[in-house]
Amino acid sequence: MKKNFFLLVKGEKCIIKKLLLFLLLTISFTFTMNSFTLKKLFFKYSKGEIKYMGEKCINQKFYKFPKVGDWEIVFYNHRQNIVFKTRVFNPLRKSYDLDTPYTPFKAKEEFLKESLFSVNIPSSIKFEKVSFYDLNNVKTLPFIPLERKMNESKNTFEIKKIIFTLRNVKRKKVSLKLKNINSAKIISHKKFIDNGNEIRRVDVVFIPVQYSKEEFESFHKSINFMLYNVCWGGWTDRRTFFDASPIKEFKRMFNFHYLDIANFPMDWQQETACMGDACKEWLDNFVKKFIPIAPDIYVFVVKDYPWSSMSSYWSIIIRKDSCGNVLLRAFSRSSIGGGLYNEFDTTDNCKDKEPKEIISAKNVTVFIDKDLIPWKHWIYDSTPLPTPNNLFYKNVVGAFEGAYDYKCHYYRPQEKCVLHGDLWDFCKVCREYFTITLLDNWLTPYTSATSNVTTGEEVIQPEDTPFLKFSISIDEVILSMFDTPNIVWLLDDKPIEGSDGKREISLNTSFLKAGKHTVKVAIVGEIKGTTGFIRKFYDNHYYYTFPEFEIGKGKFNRGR
Amino acid sequence: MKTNFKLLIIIFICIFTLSSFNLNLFSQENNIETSEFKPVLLLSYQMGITAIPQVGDETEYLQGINSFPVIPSHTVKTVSSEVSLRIYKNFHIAFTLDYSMNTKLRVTDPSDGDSFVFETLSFYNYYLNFRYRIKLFGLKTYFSIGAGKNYTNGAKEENIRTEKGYTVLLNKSEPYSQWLLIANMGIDLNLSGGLCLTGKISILNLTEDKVKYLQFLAGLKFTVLNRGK
Repeated sequence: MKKNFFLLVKGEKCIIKKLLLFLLLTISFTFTMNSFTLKKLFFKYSKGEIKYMGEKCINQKFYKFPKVGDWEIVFYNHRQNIVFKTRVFNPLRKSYDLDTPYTPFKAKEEFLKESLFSVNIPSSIKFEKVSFYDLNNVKTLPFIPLERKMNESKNTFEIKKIIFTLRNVKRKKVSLKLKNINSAKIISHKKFIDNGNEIRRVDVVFIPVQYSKEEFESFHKSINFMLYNVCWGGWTDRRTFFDASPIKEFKRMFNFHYLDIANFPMDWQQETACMGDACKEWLDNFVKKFIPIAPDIYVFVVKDYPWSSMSSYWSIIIRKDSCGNVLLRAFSRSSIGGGLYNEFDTTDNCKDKEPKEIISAKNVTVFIDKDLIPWKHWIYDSTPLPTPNNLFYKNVVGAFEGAYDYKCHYYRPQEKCVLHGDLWDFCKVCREYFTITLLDNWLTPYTSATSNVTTGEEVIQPEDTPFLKFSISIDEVILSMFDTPNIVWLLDDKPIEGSDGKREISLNTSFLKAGKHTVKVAIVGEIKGTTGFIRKFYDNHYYYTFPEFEIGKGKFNRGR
Repeated sequence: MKTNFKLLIIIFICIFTLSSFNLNLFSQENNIETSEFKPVLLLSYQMGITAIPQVGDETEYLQGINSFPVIPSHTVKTVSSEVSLRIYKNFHIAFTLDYSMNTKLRVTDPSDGDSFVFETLSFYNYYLNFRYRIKLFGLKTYFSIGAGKNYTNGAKEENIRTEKGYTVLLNKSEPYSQWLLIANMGIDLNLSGGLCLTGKISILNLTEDKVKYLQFLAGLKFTVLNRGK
C-alpha cells in the first residue's frame, strides 16, 4: 500500500506529478492569456485620468466601472477644453441634487445587478483625456477631481479601485440596408461653397437619396432652396440659412459640397438608418475619391421621407422640400451645434405626474429652480419661473414650459427658437451653446506650427541650443473672422514680454530656468458680430500648445 | 604621450622587480654623509592623501551656462612609489610615480541650493627630483625639488539628475597631461637593517591648470643597494 502510494507521489511516471504539472500549465496559460487580452482592453489610468491606448479605443465609446454612486465624467480635447460632460447617477436615489446643467444618464436596472454603470459617449466627440469627478462625497464644492482627493487624504476614494474596461459589446448591425452597392456611382462632385482647405473647415456634404440620374437638377434646386429660403406656412422669407446667427458669423468656416449619386442604396423605412459609426466609415470610403478628407456632416436629401429632418452626430436626413429653418434645426442638433435638444411641445404629457426622463442640459431642463437651470446666467431675478408664455416675456429668457417634444414638465429658455419650430432665429441660450460648440470643437485657426525643440527625453542644454524658435502659421480665412485679434505667446502660462502680435518668437535658453517648460500661442479675440452671444465665463484664447521641453542646468566639466 | 607613459611605467616596474630580486635588499645604509661616489639605491612605497584646493568662485555663476561654478576643495587617496639613487655625497636623484584615485564630490548651484554628486577624475604624477639628504636634530631628513608630468584620466559624457530633478550634462573629458613642478621635504626613521619608516610633504604645482596640490604621504623605504658599506 505504502509502495503504491509512493509510486503516486514519486517517480517519473507518477500521476499526481503529472496532474500537478498539467494544472500549473493550465493556470499559467490562463493567466497569460488573460493578461494579454486585458492589456488590450484596459485603459491606462493614472492620477485620476485615463488615456487612450492607441486608435483601437477611439471607436469604442462604452465604459463600465464598478461604483454605485454619482459621477461626472468629463472629456477634454487636445486643447484641454471640455468637449463633453455626462453624469452617471445612482439609480437607488430618488431625488437628484442637480446643481450643474449637464446631461444626466440614468443608469438602467440591468446595470445595477452587476453594480456597473455604462456611459454612452457620442461617436463624434474627439477627446484625449477623461476625468472622473465623484459627486457623492462632496458637499461644499460641487466637484473635486479624484487626483486631488487622492493626494490630500487617505480616507477618500482611490482611483485605482476603479477598473476601467471597455464594454465588450459587439457592434450592432448598422441599420442601413444597402441594396446593390455596385449600382451606386458618384457621377459628379461640386464644392459649391468653397472656403479653402478641407482639413480646417467644416465640410458639409449633400447626398441625394432616391434620386435617379435625370433628377439631379431637382436635387440641386432642393439644396439651393434649403440654403437660401427660410419658409413657413407658404411664405418665403428673404433671409437665408446663412443669415441665422451663429451660422452667419461662422459661415467662412464651412465648405458645402454636393455629390451627384444615382440610386444611392438606402432603405429609409427604418428611423435609425445610417446613424452608426460603421455607416460613416463606409461613406467616408465611398466618397474619398472626390473628398479626400472625411466630411464632417453628411446631409442626406431624401426625395420621399416621412419626417422633415433627423440628426445624428455626423448625419442629417432631410426631406427634399425642407426649408432653411429645418436645416438650421437639424444642424443645431448634430455635432456642429453640440447636439441641442428639440424644443417642440407636440406630445401631451400633462397628465403624467413627473417627467419620464430627467434632463437638465443645454437648452432643456426639468427644473424650475433657478440654480438648477443650465442657462441660469441668462435669467434675471425678476423673471418668474416657470415663465408665462405671454407678450410681456416675448424676448425674455426664462423657463417656458414645453420642450423636448413634450407639452409639460420640460422647459425651454425662450418663447421662440428655431428648435421650437419657429422661423429662423435661435434663442439666446441655443445661440450661446451653438457658438461655444463652434469655437471649441470646430475652430482650427492654426495651419502649422514649427519649433526647433527636440521632442522626447532629450534635455536642452543652453550651451548647445542658445535659442529656441517657435513659429506658427495662421489660417487667414479664420483670422479674418476675428474682430481685432491679437496673438499672445505664453511661457508656462505667463505672457512672454514683447511677443504680442508676432508669429515667430525665439527664446534665449540661458534665461530660462532649468526644468520643464511649455510654450503656448493663443489667438485672443472675439469673432466678428458675436458680441453678447456668450454670457457665461468663456476663455476666448484659442491655443496651440507646443511640445513640452526640458531645459537642463547646463554642462559641467569634471576636468579640463 | 600615452605610449611614453606606459613605457615609463614598464621601466619603473622592471627596475623595482630587478632590484628586489637581484640586489641586497636588506643591506644596511651606513655613513650616508661621509661616503663619496658610492651608490645607494632606495625604494619606497607610500600612501597618503592629496589635498586639492577649491576651483572657481560663486561670482562666476551663469544660469544655464555655469550653474555649478565651484568645485570645492577636497582630498583624494594617493599611492606612490619611488626609486632614489645616491649620485654624489648627500645628493640623490629620485624618480617618483604616484596615482591619485577618484572620489565622489558634491557641487552646489548657488542660485537655488540644488546639488549633485559626481566622480572626480583620477590622475597620475611622475617626476624626477633632486634630493639633498641631511641629518637635522638627529633625524634623517631630505629636501628635494623636481619636475615631471601630470596625467589626468578622461571620462565619458554622462547625463546626471540633480537633487531637484534637473539634468546636468557631465562633459566628456579627454585624458590630458601637463608639466608639474614639485618641492618636497621628508623624514626617514630607521626601523631595522635597511628598512625605514618614511614620510613626506610635497607641493605640486600644475603649470597649465595653475593649481597647487598638497600631498601628505607615509610608508616604508628599503635600502636595495649600498656600496658605501
